[in-house]
Amino acid sequence: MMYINIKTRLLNLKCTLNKSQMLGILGPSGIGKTTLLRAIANLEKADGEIIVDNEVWLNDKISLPVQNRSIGFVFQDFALFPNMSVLENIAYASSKEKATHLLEAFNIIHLKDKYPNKLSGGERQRVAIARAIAREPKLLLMDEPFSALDRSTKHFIQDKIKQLSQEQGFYTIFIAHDIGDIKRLSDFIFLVEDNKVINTDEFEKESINI
Amino acid sequence: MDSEPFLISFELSTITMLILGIVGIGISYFLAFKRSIIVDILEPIIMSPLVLPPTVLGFYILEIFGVSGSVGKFLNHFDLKLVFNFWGLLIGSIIYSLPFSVSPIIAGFRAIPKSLIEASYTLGKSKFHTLLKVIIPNAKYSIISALVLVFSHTIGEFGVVLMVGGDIPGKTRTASIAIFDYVQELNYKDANISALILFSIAMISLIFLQILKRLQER
Repeated sequence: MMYINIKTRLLNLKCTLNKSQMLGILGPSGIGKTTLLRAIANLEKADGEIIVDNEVWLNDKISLPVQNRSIGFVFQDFALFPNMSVLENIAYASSKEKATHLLEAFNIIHLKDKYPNKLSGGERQRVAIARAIAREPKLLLMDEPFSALDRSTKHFIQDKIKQLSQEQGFYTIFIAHDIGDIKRLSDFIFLVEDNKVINTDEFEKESINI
Repeated sequence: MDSEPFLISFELSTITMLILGIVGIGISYFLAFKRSIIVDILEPIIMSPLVLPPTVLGFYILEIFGVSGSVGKFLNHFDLKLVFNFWGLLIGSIIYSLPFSVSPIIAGFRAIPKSLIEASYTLGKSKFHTLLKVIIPNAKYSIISALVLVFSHTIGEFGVVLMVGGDIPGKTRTASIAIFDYVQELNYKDANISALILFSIAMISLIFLQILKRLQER
């Protein structure tokens, strides 16, 4: 189980996720969603409490450095290492075997020897997601991970993330602007403007009532 | 024409370049990524040889490392002397050329997107691992530029080496000091040949830097 009660300068997120569950963050631009995700990773300062599988990442006394938090982070700008091939990028925090397996799973094995500057936006995004999962993290954080993907690729990647999440048991928190992506993937939704976390089914009912 | 001053200059430039390659990366990393009052104080001190007259710098090095200087006195206890010999030249060159190493490397480090460094951290890698595998490879053109600048700057150095090393033939007489001596002796032929060699090295370095710049822009 993962418990988060974290406070950044602009937002306050409190939620509990079970293994393999996903939380989608929905809200307008510039409201602090990226900062919140970065704070969970400890790339930004934050107060509060994070407990992942009984391991304290953050509380009044402890703040584990980013390297010691078992996370996979998909950055908005992908942050692929330009000096490494696709295979080397994914194998950076795992092994070549694991990287090859993920390249096959994400249908991008044909890109393995290419360098990031030769990839399209959508290809980079897929590589970035594969790299974040390659580390076998406990928590996958994704900042607008589907923005550069076409509809069919997006659904394929979302299904793959869901499948890997079930297999590996990692928790996922992601930001998306497309409500469809959030509904399709997440178990809970953090409605930033209302500052509340609700069940996705509940959100569906509320949407119908509106 | 005596070839020994050129050998000394080449030896001095090569060793200075190698030392500043390593030291420059360490100092640049600290200056490029740390935010503290120490950095704000340290950066102008390191960059000061860019604006200080070489004789002034040479004088202070003499004052510190000379036999009556604070460090010089201490080294005397171990029978070590750091002025008027090759080691003095080396220390003078390292201090004098430090900004030529640090300045391009800092610029290269700061040009790397922050997210690349953070991505490495989120993948569980240490700061040192990130420096070796992400920062240095992605700033390689800046580092090579720094090395070329240090080499070409050191090989033509005059003021500091004269102050710290003197003009001892076979020991501390470098190529640029030799040119000065040739002119004093009205030996314009050797002065001309020596000057042409240094001029050629400088031009080759500049052309090389230009090629590097083009490669980096690709």
